[in-house]
This record gives sequence, C-alpha cells and structure tokens, in this order.
Amino acid sequence: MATTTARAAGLQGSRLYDYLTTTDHKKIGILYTISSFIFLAIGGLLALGVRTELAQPGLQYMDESVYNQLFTMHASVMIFWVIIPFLAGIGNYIVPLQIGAADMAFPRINALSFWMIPFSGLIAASGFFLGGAADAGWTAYPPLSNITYSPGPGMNLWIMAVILVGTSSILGAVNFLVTIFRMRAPGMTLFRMPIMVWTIIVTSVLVLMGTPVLTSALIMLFVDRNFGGSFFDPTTGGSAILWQNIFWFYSHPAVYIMVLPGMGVISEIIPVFSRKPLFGYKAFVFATAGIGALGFSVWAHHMFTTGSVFLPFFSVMTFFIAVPTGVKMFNWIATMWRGQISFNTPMLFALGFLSMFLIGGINGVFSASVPVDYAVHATYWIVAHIHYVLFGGSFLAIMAGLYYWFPKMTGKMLDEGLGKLHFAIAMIGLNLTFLPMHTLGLMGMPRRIADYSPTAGWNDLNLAATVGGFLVGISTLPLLWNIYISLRNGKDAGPDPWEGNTLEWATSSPPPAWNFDRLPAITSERPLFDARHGRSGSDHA
Amino acid sequence: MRTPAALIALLAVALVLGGCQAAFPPSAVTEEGLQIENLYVLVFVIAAIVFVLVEGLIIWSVIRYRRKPTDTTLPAQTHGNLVLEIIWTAIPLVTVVGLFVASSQVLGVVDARKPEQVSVKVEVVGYQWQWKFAYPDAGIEIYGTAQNYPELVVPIDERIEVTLVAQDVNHGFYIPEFLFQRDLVPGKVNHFEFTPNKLGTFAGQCSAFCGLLHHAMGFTVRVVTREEYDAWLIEMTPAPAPSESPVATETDLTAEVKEWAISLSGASTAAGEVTFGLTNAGNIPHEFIVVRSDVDGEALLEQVDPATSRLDETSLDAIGEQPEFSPGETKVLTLDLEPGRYVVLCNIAGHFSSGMYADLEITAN
Repeated sequence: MATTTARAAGLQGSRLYDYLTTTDHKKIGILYTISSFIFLAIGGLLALGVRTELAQPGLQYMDESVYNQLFTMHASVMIFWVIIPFLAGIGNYIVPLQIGAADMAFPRINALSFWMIPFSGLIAASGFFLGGAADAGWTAYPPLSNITYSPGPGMNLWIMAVILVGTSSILGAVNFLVTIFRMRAPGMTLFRMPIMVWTIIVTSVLVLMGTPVLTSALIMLFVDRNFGGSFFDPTTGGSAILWQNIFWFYSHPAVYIMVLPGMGVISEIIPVFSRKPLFGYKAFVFATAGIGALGFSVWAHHMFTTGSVFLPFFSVMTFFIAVPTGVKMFNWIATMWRGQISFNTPMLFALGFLSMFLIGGINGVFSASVPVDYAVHATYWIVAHIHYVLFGGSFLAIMAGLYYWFPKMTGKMLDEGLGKLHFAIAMIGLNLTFLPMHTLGLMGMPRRIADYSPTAGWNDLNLAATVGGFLVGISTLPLLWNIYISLRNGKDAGPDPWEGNTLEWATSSPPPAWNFDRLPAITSERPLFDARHGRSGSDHA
Repeated sequence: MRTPAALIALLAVALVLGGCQAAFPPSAVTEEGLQIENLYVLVFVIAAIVFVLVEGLIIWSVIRYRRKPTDTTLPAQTHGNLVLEIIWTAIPLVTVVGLFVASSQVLGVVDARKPEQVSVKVEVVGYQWQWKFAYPDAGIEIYGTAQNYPELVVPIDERIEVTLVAQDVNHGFYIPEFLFQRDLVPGKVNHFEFTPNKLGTFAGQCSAFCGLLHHAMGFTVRVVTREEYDAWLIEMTPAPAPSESPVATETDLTAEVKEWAISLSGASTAAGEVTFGLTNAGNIPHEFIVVRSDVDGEALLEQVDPATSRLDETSLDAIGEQPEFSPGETKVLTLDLEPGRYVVLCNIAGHFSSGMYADLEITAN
C-alpha cells in the first residue's frame, strides 16, 4: 500500500509516531497529562451545562433527560478520566525519577494502562451519540440503573468503560508498586523516599484492594441488565443495598486515591518553597498509611440515611479519619513555620490546597455525625463538600504539581504572571461556585435536580454558583495560553529551577531517555539539598 | 481614608451576619429536628474554631515567614518535634471522640422507636415520580401528581410513625425543616418517628436521585391542631360504599392493570362501540391507552425512547385513553374501534417496557 512507504518515510520518524508507540514513562506521563486536559475540557463543559440550566428556575436549555446525562457524565469524566489519570500521569513521570530509576518496571504494561484511558473515555462518551449517555448518576444505584429504568445503551457503555478504566488503574498500581519496591537507586531506603512516592504506594494499595471490588459490582450490574441476573433486583431476590455497599467499598477509598497523591505533591512543594524539610516526615508516612487503612472502614457513611447501616461503627471510623488528615495539615503548617516562603505559582496552588482542602476536611466531620448527616445528606451541602475535597483538594494539587514539574517535563519555565492570574481567577471562581452550595443544601435543595421552584428562595445563590462556574472555566484560559507561549518562548528551566530536594532535579530538563547520567549520594530524603548545602542537620527525627 | 475603612467594616459586618444565617439550617419544626439543630450548632462552633485557628496559622505563616531579601542563610532545618506531634494528634482525637458521643446521644433520640407513644401512623409510598400518603387506620389514601403535590397532614405535639416503601427505585423522604431525611429502598421497609411542635406547612421533596422527573417529586407536610386534624380526617374519609358504585355498565372487555402487566378478558372483540371495564389492581397509578398498531406489543417495545423510558405518543395512533387512575379504582372507557390490530398499554415512564401491554384484535362484524 502507498501508506506503507509514507509511514516508513514520514510517520515512523515523527514525534507523533514516537508518542503513539512510546514505552518511556516520561512520554507516557505527558500523554496522561494531555489526555486528562482533553477530558477536563469535556467534563468542564458538562459542568457548565449543568450550571447554565440551574442558573435560574425553569427548564430553559434542555430537558430532564439531557440534564441527567450531563451531571452523570460530568462526575464520571472528572473522577475516572481527569483526576485519577492526571495523578497517575504525574506519578508516571515523577516516581521513577524520584527514586532514581531508569523507567517503570513494566514499560509496555505502562503504555497499555495509558491507552486504555482515552479508549474507555470514548466508549463512555459515545453514549451521547448512540441514543443517550449514562443518566443514573455516577453512583448508578440500582434499581434505577437496571434495564427497566435505564433501558438505553448509555448505561451499558458506561459499565464497560469504567471496567476498562479500572483495569488500567489496577495495572498501573502493580507497576508502581513493583517499580518502587524493586528499582530504587542505591541508598534510597524506604524512609528516604520522597513523600510523593509514599503516597503513590498507599494509593496503589488502595487501588489493588478497592478497584477489583468495583469491577465485580460492575460485572454483576452488567449481568443484571443484559442477561437477567438478579444481584441487585429486589423483585427477584436481589438487594439494592448490596450495590451501595460494594460500590462505596471502592468509591470511598477512591476519594483517597484522588487525594493522597495530591497530598504527596503538596508535600514536595511546600518544603522546597519554604526552604525547610517536611516537618514530621515519619508521622506523615504513618498518617498516609493510616488514612489508607481507615479509608476502607468508612464506606457506609454514604448510606447513613438508608436505614441499613451499622451506624456507630461507620460513624466513629469516619470521625477518626479526620485525625491523620489533621496531623498532615499541622505538619504542612509547621513546615512553613519559621521558613523562608516564596510565592511562585506552584506554592500559591499549594497554599490554595491547604486553605480549601481544610474546608472539605472540616465539612467531612459534619457528615460523620449521623444526625447532622440526616439533615445534609443528598443535598447541595454534599455537592459543596465533595468539590472542596476534589477541586479544592485534588485539582488544586494537580495544578500545583503541573506548575512545579512543567519545567522538568519541558525544559521551559511557565510564565509567573499568567500563573498568578490563573490562580486568582480559579480561587475566586471556586469559592463563588461552591461556598453558596453549602447554604443551598441547608435550605433544602437536593442534589441532582434539573429544576427548582422559583419561590424556593434558591435563585440568587444558584446564579452566583453559575457565575463562579464560568469563572472557573475562564481561569483555564491563562493556563492554556501560558503553556502555549512557554513551550514556544519560555525561559530555559535548567536542571533545577526551584532549588529542589529530590532526585528529579538532579538530571537535565527534560531528562534523557535513560533519566540519569549519574546520581548524587542518597543519605536522606533530600539528596539534592544535601549536595547543595552539605549533610549537616539534614537527618530527620 | 475613613470612608473605605468604614465601608470595609460595614461589608465585614454584613458578611458575618449574612454568613451566620447562611451557615445554619432552618429552625427545626419537630422535637427530633431540634436535637439535630442543637447538635449542628455544636459541630459548627467546633468546626469554626478549627477553621479560624488553622486558616489563621496558614495566613500568619505566609505573612510572617515570607522570604525577604535579607534571607541569605538557610532557616533552621527543623525535622519534627515529637511532643508537638503527639499534642496535635491527641487534641483532634479527643475532639472527634467527644463529637461522636454527642452525636450518638442525639441519634438515640432521632432514631428512637416508641410504638406505645405513637398516635398517628402514616405510610409513605414513593414511586416514579410522586408519592402516596396513606393513613391505614382511617382508610385515607392521597396520591400526588407533578402539578398537585400531595399533603401529609399531622396533628401537633403527637408522635407520628412514618413507614416508607419504595415501589420501583430508591427515593428519599426529605423535609428540610425537619432537618431529616430517610431513604425509601426497594425490597426494604423503613420507618421513622417524629413529633411536630410547630404549626404550619413545610415543603419536602425527594432527595435520592430517582430518574427523569426526580425534581418533580415534591410534597408538603401540614401540621395542624388536634381539632383541625379530626375535622380533616372526617372530610377525607371516603364516603360509604353505596354512593360509590355507579350504575353497572355493560362492558365488552375487562382489563386489569397492575405492575407489570395488563390482562384483558379477551384477545379480540367485534368492531363498533367497545366498552372497557378497567381496574387498577396494582399499588401505584396507571393509565390505559388504546393504540392502533400494525405490529404487536412486543415489537412496539423497540420504539421505546431510552431517554424517557416511554413511547413517543405523537408517533402513536392512539384512539383513546384513560388517564392515570389510582390503585383500587375502576374506570369505564368507551371507544369506537374499527377492525384491525391494536395494542393496549400503560405509557407512564418505564411501565410499558416493564410489560404493561396486551394485544387486541378488533374483528369486522
């Protein structure tokens, strides 16, 4: 064929072909980032669709059917195809570098894990063009998600897509664990690993324990829908509550899968920009492991109102999980205490994370209290909570990481002015969108409603949230422009623009395919700091 | 300089006052809700202290320890402080244990079951997409519609027991001013008890996502005095049987509609005026539509719009219909039918595809 020669001559040597066939963890990390940005645009537009419809009472722009698809797919896309892959991408790029390895342990599996993500995302999104995407909420509670009440193809496509993306996560988790336990550079003992690496370990364990459980639930739902199974159908002896238990057994730890690596990112950035080591390194490691362990014993707090939960256990465990999270907060503040803080964009986003995730953490304690949960469950209050956790937490951390490691990934500095503009608009937008939702929830606005009464008194706050949502959308424009101009004319980063502590700053930006020509001595968790300032006082307690 | 400062102060005061109202749930109108409200205030006060403390520490650190041009040497490289770390682990631990104890006490009140004190029992049935409120002791049943929300009427200061049954999918019985919600879960019967202590009408709505018209599952709870309640009971109690049964109509076919089937007394009848005797033998409202169709009901299933779980009625050749009627009700529907093939069906979302149809042939005389 004619194309064969064309490919041999042009495509094969091209950058595109290189990226399509790469098994280099750094290029795969960049692919993850690009894919996440594309799905971020999709998930963001879906959210703006939801906010546009809710700006005023009445159904102006769509019917309930479309609305239900929008919010279902917004949540699904943001969780499965934006936040989790974004963090997996950062992990992919950074973890081998931080432990002084040349690549991930299984480079081909690594490529497979990545390519399952855009592929599965397209499967889920194809529902929009095949008669309706999934519309039973991202939680897909049966019986609503059964064939009787969700007969369209969207639900089946969604199940298949989430199984695929879950498989990608499982493969990635195995890869991370083997890489971290088998491929660390000489001297890189477990307690000299960067906190980022520790959070990836705990996250990978959570993925290995939780995701197969979700997969089994999805297969059961698929059998129920398509082959007349009766796992979750109460009319044939199944249990609707069973789904909720299995689903949340994964999906609550999934919140930590989305937050722990973000905490890892923040724990890399704050010490560097405060010129101090992370305060309480070991306490931080134990707190991370503690969150991971407790994370599997709190799932039923999503089900307090079902009347089918052993309330005291799940309530007290949910209260307990606030403790390790609080410990981390104090550790970060103590790291800044008596430091010399500079306010480059990565640090600004890290500070944004601290102050916003704090809100998401505190209002989590409200829902741990069962009677208070009876009042706020399934209202906009919960929508506010989850967005302060996943946007104020995970997403701000991802942005912090992006600004922090972009120079390493590309060799170019991002523009500080545009970065600060992005930060300012995003913070205003975030709070304008989600702060009023607390009040809406307390006033009684349930989540997932397409419309509300004009006399309910919810008009102004909904309008404010919509304006905020568009601000958040606008805030990505300076970021995209920044990436574009910086890639073209950005200042050269050099190997270590931030005076970093960890090994990724010991090689060129971007690093060569083999990562390191030579490694510095590793005698603490801050090998580069030691190389720069000597070993004095660098050992941790 | 005075004016901007005064403006900022005014704005701050407005924010704090506005914020105060915005940060709290509405005043509770039940005794149980009052307990939850007090608990909420306790949690909020502790949360506010933590928030101000931590956010204050962040802001203080950022301002006080910002990098200065004079910072030429490294700051002290502090790696940790065991005592400090134990303190800031222990204080949150004690705090959350305290909150757990306080919550458990309130939970004991909110979830208490005291059958001997219950004076009114109501049954709430949730279905796509409305409610049935039943008073089994008084024989009263109230069906809501999207246009006309049902009202639950209860006497003040008496203990009410609510039984919650889901007919199809999950629903949530939620009244913001009760500071309370409980799910209706298919295959499971839920209960809660409450004691209203304020007169008035309070809005509620479904809180568990239940599909297309989730937002239209509104209702109200009206709390009245015992006298008004007794009067309401009399007004609502169905009239005695004789006046209810109209003159018996001669029917050509009888049809029993229920979840999820329609059974006709015959598969064919002669053309001309056809009178259907309809009975809703199910637990939720149904409708009965007679459609002229070249294909049978099973083939028609393929035309169900997955987005709405219904047939598009504009594309159907519907000859006539009995709109939604309640469980236990009987209706008579008379239509002029030409010879041909027909399907009778219920086109409430999900009902047709669940099996509520039957084929009917009208033969020439």
